[in-house]
Parts: sequence; structure tokens; C-alpha cells
Amino acid sequence: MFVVKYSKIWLSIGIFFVVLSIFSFLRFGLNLGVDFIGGSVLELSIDQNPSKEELQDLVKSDSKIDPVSITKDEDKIYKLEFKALSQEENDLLIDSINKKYGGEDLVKIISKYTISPSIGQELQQRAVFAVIMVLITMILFITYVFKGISYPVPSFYYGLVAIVALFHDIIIPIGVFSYLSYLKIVEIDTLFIIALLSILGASVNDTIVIFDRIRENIRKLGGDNFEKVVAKSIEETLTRSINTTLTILFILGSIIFLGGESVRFFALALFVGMFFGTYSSIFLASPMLLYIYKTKFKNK
Amino acid sequence: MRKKSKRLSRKIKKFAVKLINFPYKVLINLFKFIFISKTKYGYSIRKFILIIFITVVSLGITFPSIINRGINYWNNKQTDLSNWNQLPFKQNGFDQWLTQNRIPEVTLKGINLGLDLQGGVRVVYDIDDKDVSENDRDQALESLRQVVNKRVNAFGVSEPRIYIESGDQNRLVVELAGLDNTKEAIERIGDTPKLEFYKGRKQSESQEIIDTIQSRLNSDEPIDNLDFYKNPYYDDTESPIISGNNIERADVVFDPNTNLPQVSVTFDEEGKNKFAEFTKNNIGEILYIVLDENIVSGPSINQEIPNGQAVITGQFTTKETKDLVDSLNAGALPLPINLVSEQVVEASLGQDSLDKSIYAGVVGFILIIVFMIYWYRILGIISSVALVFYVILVLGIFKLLGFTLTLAGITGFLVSIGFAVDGNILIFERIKEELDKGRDLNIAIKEGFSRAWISIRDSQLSTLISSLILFYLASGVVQGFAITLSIGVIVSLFSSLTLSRIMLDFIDNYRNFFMNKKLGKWLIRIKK
Repeated sequence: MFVVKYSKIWLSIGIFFVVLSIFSFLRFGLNLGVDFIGGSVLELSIDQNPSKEELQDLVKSDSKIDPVSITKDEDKIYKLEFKALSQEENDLLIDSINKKYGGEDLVKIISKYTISPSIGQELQQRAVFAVIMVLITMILFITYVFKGISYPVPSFYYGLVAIVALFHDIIIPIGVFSYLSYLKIVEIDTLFIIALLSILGASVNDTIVIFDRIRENIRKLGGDNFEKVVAKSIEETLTRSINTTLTILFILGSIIFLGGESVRFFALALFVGMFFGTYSSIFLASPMLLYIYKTKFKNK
Repeated sequence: MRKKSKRLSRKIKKFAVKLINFPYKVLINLFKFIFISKTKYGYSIRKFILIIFITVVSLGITFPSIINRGINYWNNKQTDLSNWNQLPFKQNGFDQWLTQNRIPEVTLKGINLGLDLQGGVRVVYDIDDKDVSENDRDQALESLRQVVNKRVNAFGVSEPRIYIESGDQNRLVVELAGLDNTKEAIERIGDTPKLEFYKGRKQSESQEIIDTIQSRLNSDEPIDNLDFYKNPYYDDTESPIISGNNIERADVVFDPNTNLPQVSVTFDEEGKNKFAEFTKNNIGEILYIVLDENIVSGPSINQEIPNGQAVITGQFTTKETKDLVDSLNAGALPLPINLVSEQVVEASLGQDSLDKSIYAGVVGFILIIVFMIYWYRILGIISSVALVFYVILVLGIFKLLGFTLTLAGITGFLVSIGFAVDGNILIFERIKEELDKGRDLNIAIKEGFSRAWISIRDSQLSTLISSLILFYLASGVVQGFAITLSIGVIVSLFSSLTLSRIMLDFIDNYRNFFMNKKLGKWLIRIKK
């Protein structure tokens, strides 16, 4: 069937995107949000609506604090970012802004967020650890669940293939968001990590369903004609995989376009991840299995 | 003779056994009758009613206002009826029952909303618990939480959330909805009035130390360390005789002579004994009362004080005295804490996000239903109905657990809706396969479920495992997401297996229609 027939094409596409994402990551890095490096974020609304530069000058001269960045996305709404501020520095800053722009009624704090670098450091480590833990657990889980079949391909390879597919699934969102964060459209924060971990969980889901089918068909048709078995399995599960992902994408899509500000990008990360996750489950996992079969186990 | 009595005793035994078993049998038969026995429509109707019952209860838990409206209507009816007392005709038993039976309103609160949805203040502290032994740690952390709780209650925030986040570094998290700046919160929380009682040094010793310090300061030698400095009044390297921990109560009193405000302190049992012993053994000595490392007063000990009461006179204003008393009463923090993060979220921002996300969720939900019906036709309708139940059940569970919903949590819930549909899709695809093979509807359904079960189990299990890992390794917000996802997965198992099964079994009763009539055949098929 067409998936098996054009295996080489699908694999190339997959590799292409992975390489592109790795390149993006290396080139643009990750613009880590306050969650991870510590710092202060102050969101203000100032009725007088000064320009970004004006505000920046005021902050630098009056309170002697150098902001890391000041963005003005909408009229009157400003977002100031600093390295972690102490309480006094914070007060000083707000006082000087209040003085210049009218005081309590005309200057409103929308949100204020300070996090010390120590927490940020810890969060980074935890995040990486969590991702690794999930990957390892998945490989073990799959190897265990599929321990029944060792012919023609030992169950370990199913786990291995699933892991490679998972790598593909998280590297691409990382690449995409690396570029987006470079453009300062978005910051990498805890929500992003949650998204990655959910993608891992969901993608394994998909992959398992296909492998399940393969297992069943091996039992029914024997493992000798592995290519036919795999092709049949994909054919049988194609509709299901697409439909499931479609339903999830419906919800994610509507969140991206209609949802609240802070979760939009979270939904976007999930969207990218799930999309490529399904792609990897259908078009990458099985061709990879077949490749291993052909090179290692066929005509033993 | 013996034979007769044997027969009799056996009969009695039999009868006794029957008697004892009677209530059990009744119960079992009742159970069978309700849940198991078959009716004209198979078991499904009964189960369906049970499901509806659970759902209505869930609905009631989630949206008590609906039930309250019903209750109000009933209660108002009662008031009307009680007016009938004035009427000349006799009240019968039923009327009496009505008037006497008002139903209390369902007073469940709304779902707990996290800060990012409600707006408020969130402050996080590192807890320094390295000096506490393993066994005492939980105790100490809990009492820290309680002390902070007391201090924070003064704000009158409707539901302060104070909890300990454990990990390599234990943290104290305080969330106060409705506040709009962190300053006051931090002041309140972090205020550690350290009140300590020290035994004063002897006069000669004090003098000696003071002389040493004087000479050192006056000499020309460069001062490169403070080794020479000792507190001349009391030895502050030793632990105090009594500390704030032993204070049970503090009150503001006014000196009858000077009308100056004073702090009257009552010690707890341990403090009382220590104080009694100390005063007994140190008559003539000076007792220094030290507040936050400043000497407040240094009275001499004239007599033994066995009743555990002390009065502290100092240069306080009335307000200072009152504040001190309040802080002392709230208790000293049992463990030192250190501010690491503070956050203010404005209410309207949160409300806005919430509204938008709910809107997005509803739109997505509708899209899914439309798609499912388009693709799976009558099965699509079944899965949509199951989905509606699913949403209601999950919301009900959230409510029951008193779970706090954050934006991330809501998103997790929405994503889990997508997963919930997955289970149904797997089953339907299998059923389609069986039907294509020409199997009868009821066999197709059975086969569909049994075949799909394995796939469903494995895939949902993997999602569950990864959210459990997420839960253990992460903190706060992330945990909320993991919980929503896990609950979603579990309930979705129920909705796709049980609910859908019931509805499918019900449909099976119309087997003839679906297998043989043209419309039926079209309805049961899947597109393409």
C-alpha cells in the first residue's frame, strides 16, 4: 500500500523536518522565559500611553534599573522584563512610573511576577529530567507490552522505533518554537514543557495502536510475510489514527484561534506536536520497522 | 424416641438457617431485580437509568444553581401551603408533611478557580528545614503552614490557599485570591517576631566586655574581624531561656499607674515550668527580654514566678503593642522562610482568559460532534451522547474533589475530550470491520468491543503513565494539568466502554431495522 511503497519518501520528509528543527534550535537557541532563568516581569497599563522608548528612558534614568526588554503589544499595555528585582527596586520603579504618569488611577499593574534564579535553574533541570524519564518509561512500556512477539522482529525493536518516532515528535515543536522565541513572539515556559510531555504521551498512544494491529496480524497471518502484514495493519488503522488526531486538532485549533492569550501558544505547541506525532506513527514508525526487518532479520 | 428428636432438631436447624438468611436473600433478590435481571429490552434500560441518575447527580454537583432553583420553588410552595393553616378546613396528613418539609438549599460552592483565573496574589518561599530531623519534619512543616494560615486569615480572603510543595527544597506557597498587591501579604507572612528571654550577664562580666570593646575600638590596630565583640548584656550564642514558641497567649494591658501599654504574656506548660525554675534560681539577676535581637527591657528578677505570666514594659506605642500581641498570638514561624517568587495576576485578565477558553472549548466540542456524526452516522450520535455524559461526569468529579482549576488544567481537560473520543473511534472502526465481514449486528458489536479493548487499554495506559510521571516530577501548575488528564483518561474509559456499550446494546434491539432496511443500513455504516 502507499505508505509502505513510498517508505523512502516519508522517511526523507521526516528526516528533513528533524534536521531543520535541530538547525533552528542550534541557531536560535531557546528564549527561556522568566520561569527558567529567574527575573521579574511587570505588566502595566498607563493611561497616558507614552511610547516604548519614553518609558524605557524614564526607567533607566529615574530608578537606575536597566530593563532587559520593554514591549508594547497593545495601546497602553506595557510589559517590562528585568533580571530579578528586589522588593525595594520594585517599589522604586513603580513609584517613579507613578510619579511621571499620574499615579494610582492612571497607572495600573496588570500583573507582576518575580522569580528567583534558583527556582528557575531547578525548573530547568526538572523539565529535562521529566522528558527523559517519560522517554525511558515509554520504551520499557512498549517492550513489555509487546513482549509476546519476538518473530520476526524482537519486541525490543518496537520500543526502539517508538522512541525514535518520539524524538521526531518533540524535536519539531522545539525547532518551531525556537524560531518563534527568537522572533520574541513567545517565551519558553513551563507550559511548553507540559506540552512536550503531553505530546510524548499522545504519540505513544498512536504508535501503540498500530503496533497492536501488527501484533494481531502476525498472529493471524504468520510473520513470514512481514511486509504484507505491516501494510495491512497500516491500512486497517489509517482511518482511526487520522480521525482521532482530527478530533484533538479540532479542539486545539479552536483554542489557538479563540482561546485565552496565555494558552494560545500552549495549544499551538500541542497542535504541532500532535500533527507530527500522527505523521510519525503512520508514516515513520512502520517503515522504520520494515527497514530493520529487511536489514537485520529477513532471510536470516 | 431418639429418632424423633433428631428429626425435630434438624427441622429446627433448617428453619433457623432460613430465618437468618431471609434478609440477605431479600437484598440479593432486590439487587438482581434492579441490576441484573432481563427485561423485554435487555439489561440496557436499567443500566441506562442508572447512568442518567449518576449524570443528574453530577450535574447537580457542578451546577447547584439549577437544583437550588428547584428547591426554592418547592420551598416557596411550602410557604403558600402553610398559609392554609388559617383556612377553616382541616389539614390532612399530606399537607402537614409538605409544610414541614422544607429542603435546605444545596450549598456547594462553585468550582475552585486557580489564581490565573480568579486574579490574586501568589507568593512562594523556600523553607529552611535542614536543622530539623526527619521525624519532626512533617510536624514542623504542618505547623508552619498553620501559623502562616493564621496570619493570612487577617486578610479576610475568602479562600486562602496555603500549601507546602515538597521536593529537594520544600517550599511554602501562599495564594490569596482577590488581593492586588503582594507587599502587604509579604509583610504579614514574613513577619517573624522573635521574642526571647535571656539571662543577663553579671555586672562585672558586662563591664569587662564593654571595656575590651572600647579599648579595641580606640586602639590603632586595624580591625579585620569582630572576634573581640561579644554581646555585653547576655550571651547570645547560647539558646534563650524561653522563646516565642513557648508563648501561649499575649494580651495588651495598660499599666495602672502610667497608663502605658504593655504586653502581658502567658506561657504554655513547658514555658511556665522553665520560667518558674529560672526565676527561682536566679533571684537578683537580670532577665533580658529581647525582641528581634533588640533588648526591649531588662527587669531584675525579684522573686520566683510560678504562674507562667510575664508583663513586658517597653517604649511601645499602643499600635506597636497591639501589632506585637497579634504577631505573638499568631505564633512565631517554626521554620525560617525565604522569599523566592511573587506574582500578581489581575482578575479581569483571568476572567477574560477563562471566558475565551470556555468559548473555544465549546466550539471545538461542537466541531467534534459534527464531524463524528458526519463520519460515523448513528454511531457518531452515540459517541456524541457519550461525550456529553463524559464532560458532565468529569466536571462533577472536579467539583467533588475540591480540585482547583487553572488555565492549564482546563486545557488538559479539553485535550482529554479529544482522547475520550479516541476510545469510541477504535471501537467503531472494529465494529465496521466486523459488519463488512458480514457478521450480524450483535456479534459485530461484541467482537468490536472485545477486540478494541486491548488497544484502548494499552494506549490509555500509556497516557496515564506519562501523566503520572508528570505529576510526580512537577509542581503546582503542571500537576494540575496532569491530574486533569489522568481523571479524563479514567472517565473516558468508562464513557467509551460502558456508556457506548449500553447504547449500542439498546440499538441492537432494532437489529432488523439496521441490518435489513435501507435507511438502517446507511445509518449503521461509516462514511467511505
